[in-house]
Amino acid sequence: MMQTRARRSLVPVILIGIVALYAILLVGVPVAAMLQAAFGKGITVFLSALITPDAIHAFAITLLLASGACAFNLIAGLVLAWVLVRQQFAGKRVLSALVDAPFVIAPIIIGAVLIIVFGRGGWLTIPGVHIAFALPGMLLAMIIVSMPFVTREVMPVLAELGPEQEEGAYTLGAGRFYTFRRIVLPELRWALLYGLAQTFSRALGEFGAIIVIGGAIQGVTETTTIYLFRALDDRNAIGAYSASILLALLSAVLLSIMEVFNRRRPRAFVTEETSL
Amino acid sequence: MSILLENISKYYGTQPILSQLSLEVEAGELFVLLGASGSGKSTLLRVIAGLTTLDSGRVILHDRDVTELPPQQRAIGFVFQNYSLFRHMTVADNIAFALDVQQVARPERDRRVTELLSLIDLSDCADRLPAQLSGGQQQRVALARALAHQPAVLLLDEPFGALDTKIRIQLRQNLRTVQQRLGVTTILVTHDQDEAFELADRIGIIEQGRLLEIGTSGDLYHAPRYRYTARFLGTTNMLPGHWHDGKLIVGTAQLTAKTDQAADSVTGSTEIMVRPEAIHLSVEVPPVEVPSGAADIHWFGSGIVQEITFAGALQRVRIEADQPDMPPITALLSDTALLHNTVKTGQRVWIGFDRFHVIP
Repeated sequence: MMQTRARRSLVPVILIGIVALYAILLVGVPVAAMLQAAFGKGITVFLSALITPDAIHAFAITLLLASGACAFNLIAGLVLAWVLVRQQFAGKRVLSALVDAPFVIAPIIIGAVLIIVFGRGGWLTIPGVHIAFALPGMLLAMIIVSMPFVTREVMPVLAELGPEQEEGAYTLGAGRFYTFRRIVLPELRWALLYGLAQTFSRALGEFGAIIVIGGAIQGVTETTTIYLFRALDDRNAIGAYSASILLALLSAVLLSIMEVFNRRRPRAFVTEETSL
Repeated sequence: MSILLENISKYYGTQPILSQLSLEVEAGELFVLLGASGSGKSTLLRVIAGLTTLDSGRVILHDRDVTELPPQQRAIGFVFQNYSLFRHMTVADNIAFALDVQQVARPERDRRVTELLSLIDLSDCADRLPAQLSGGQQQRVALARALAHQPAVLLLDEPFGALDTKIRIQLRQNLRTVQQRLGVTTILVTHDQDEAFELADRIGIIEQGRLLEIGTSGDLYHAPRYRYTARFLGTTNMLPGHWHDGKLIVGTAQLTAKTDQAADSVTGSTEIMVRPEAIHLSVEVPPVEVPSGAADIHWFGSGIVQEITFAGALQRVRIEADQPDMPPITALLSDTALLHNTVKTGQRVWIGFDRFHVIP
């Protein structure tokens, strides 16, 4: 019996040890290597690599496109969530499945499809309007890959809220928009912000789709991830790892912000794995 | 006429939920719609409120045809079954919501909120969130919120359903006081007959989307027109009888039914309704000496006491009648009556009643 008790108490310790080792190997070691590579020649070199015109342009494009994807998906995600929760119509399940498509389709395929549609001789070309190999196409790619997040975060909150709160507002004389603004939106705000933070994070790290549709034109359609890829290809280790550190820092900030939003969501929707 | 419903029908697919339902409610009246779950009473309330569309018929509120109007334009107040308070707003903000919609000036808004908080006795809870209130307090806030914009009609959908008995009794009294003080025409929907009896000026019995009958509590309880009403309102004994030579024969009793009780007095079968409190039991063979001034007791049969159940102030006695065509009889007796008769389980007793009603 004493031996069994001792064996039982060892199991959680062993499991924690395995997880810790996993974390160290998959996260700790790469981060350490990245830090060493970025700062190996001193902080001045690191900072110089970050302020090259290409690096600054890439970062600016990344922020611009990620912000654009957030702005679009804020509205589109809300509308989609509303339609999927509140409305009954033929094809609802198909639409719901399509929302999750970006989770399962490889981003590079999304980029390839956009080329077919908007590239030279494509299905939807507008004379004088450049979509492929230009920022609009990249924005479209970022919108598609980050589409599910706002919708999927808002939907369960909207479903839990139910229609009665809105009906209550209607019986008190409130119109639809007033009701949405004063009753529904406050209930959705934390889920919405959490979804937006996920959208921004996803857009920030996008690579496969935008390198195809954007063409990775240096100084024009090069985001931070594409710049990083080119820096590695050019054996510009300092440039590559400096960009990596920047993206990692941004991700860490986003993660902290997401945690704040996550904790403020209704208790039933808090994801424990992100709560401290 | 404050509320007039004309031939309201509502279907879900081919399933009728409301069927040619017509109703008139007087100004200032508290009308209770009483029915079992699934009878359509909540749907009817939602149709009046404009929250559910109807398939045919008209809704007229204070001489205004509101059938095609949305809820916002019907001047109604609605209290939902689970209150539907706005979770992110304080009690004061919940109550003030309708006033904010109407852009009422701040001083008037605050005055009205204070007045309503006082009316529902929650003046010290103005800054609390709904989650910080008890069920009874939430119900009162929901009521105040529904009254803030001085609606012409107040609709309540089983407002006490989620509360325990003592709180329910207290809140019923509060509601009645508030409704009478404000004089607002009210329809309350419930499946609880005690609630209906206590609150209603008139009760409407609704069954499978049809308004079966309307009357005061006493009328419906003592002289219902339909068997469904008799069975739905409290426990009842439905005794088989038949007419013979102008007399009503029930078991061994011969009754002279009053003209207004009998729909017709031709020969044939019928049923009479006898409430448990009208049942008398005797361990001695009747006729027993009836004290002067007491009502006639019609002894109609005998049986064996199967069960005596404690029911608070009274005891419920179930008797298996000897006559094969008689259903089991339920009697409600006081402890004194039981003691006087020394009625026990397994005992043979003679059964009579002093009041009855012939179902037309």
